[in-house]
Amino acid sequence: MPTTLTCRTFRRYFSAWRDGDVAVPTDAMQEHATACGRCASLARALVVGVRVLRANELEWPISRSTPSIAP
Amino acid sequence: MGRWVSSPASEKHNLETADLVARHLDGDPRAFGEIVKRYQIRLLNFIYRMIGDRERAEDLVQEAFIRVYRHLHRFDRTKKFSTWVYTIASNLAKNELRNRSRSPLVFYQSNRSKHEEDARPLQFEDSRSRPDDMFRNRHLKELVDNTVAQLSPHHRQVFVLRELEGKSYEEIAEVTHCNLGTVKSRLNRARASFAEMIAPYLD
Repeated sequence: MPTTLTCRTFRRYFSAWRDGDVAVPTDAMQEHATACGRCASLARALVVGVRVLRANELEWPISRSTPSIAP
Repeated sequence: MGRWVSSPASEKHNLETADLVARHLDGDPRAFGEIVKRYQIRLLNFIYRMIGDRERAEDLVQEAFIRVYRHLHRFDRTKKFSTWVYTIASNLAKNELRNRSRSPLVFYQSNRSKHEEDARPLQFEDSRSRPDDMFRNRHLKELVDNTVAQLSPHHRQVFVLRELEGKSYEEIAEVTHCNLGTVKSRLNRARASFAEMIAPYLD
């Protein structure tokens, strides 16, 4: 199914699209992501990967006291 | 998406931090401890993602706060405090990577620490999960960790600052000493590389 954006253009805009940049042609991006399995797969990989990163954030270790600068 | 514009909550956070800085400089002994509590976990995660060694990251967080304490009187209070703190942390992480590349021994030690850390339980595993889900989650976590580690330091830095720390392009430009165009270009490439490395395993 042909779309108004090529894969190359989709990928050039993708980062700005993710950040909600108003200059990006949102409808065309959405249309391409729906029609192109390869680009949709990359978009999904970024979302899932970042979700995994956020879910595995470190906590400050209990065994280690909060950094103190007090003399 | 939608994290581009700073929220009212983050504006409030900035005002409160500015107040803590002012209180510390006015001699309030509790104010610096509050600043530490507010930033220690964020800095730990940022430095850890940059250098890939948890124990060393903890040391560098402490070093970052020592620097903040020593130089806080020189901080330009018209600027954003968090950007200044991340700049200090970023410089420490870059120094660590530079030193590591010069010293094979340090590199070995960092690899060993990383290996030991891999034995820790996953935070998103829960006891009710089915074994195959737990295996998949563990595999996914390792995949994502390795993928971030494989990004170049420049790409990793902007990727972590944007995706995990939620920094704006302007803040990232300040922390990394780059112009906005470079930040956007590096972020685009970092996201593309990250996605391309992970996608085959998700399909």
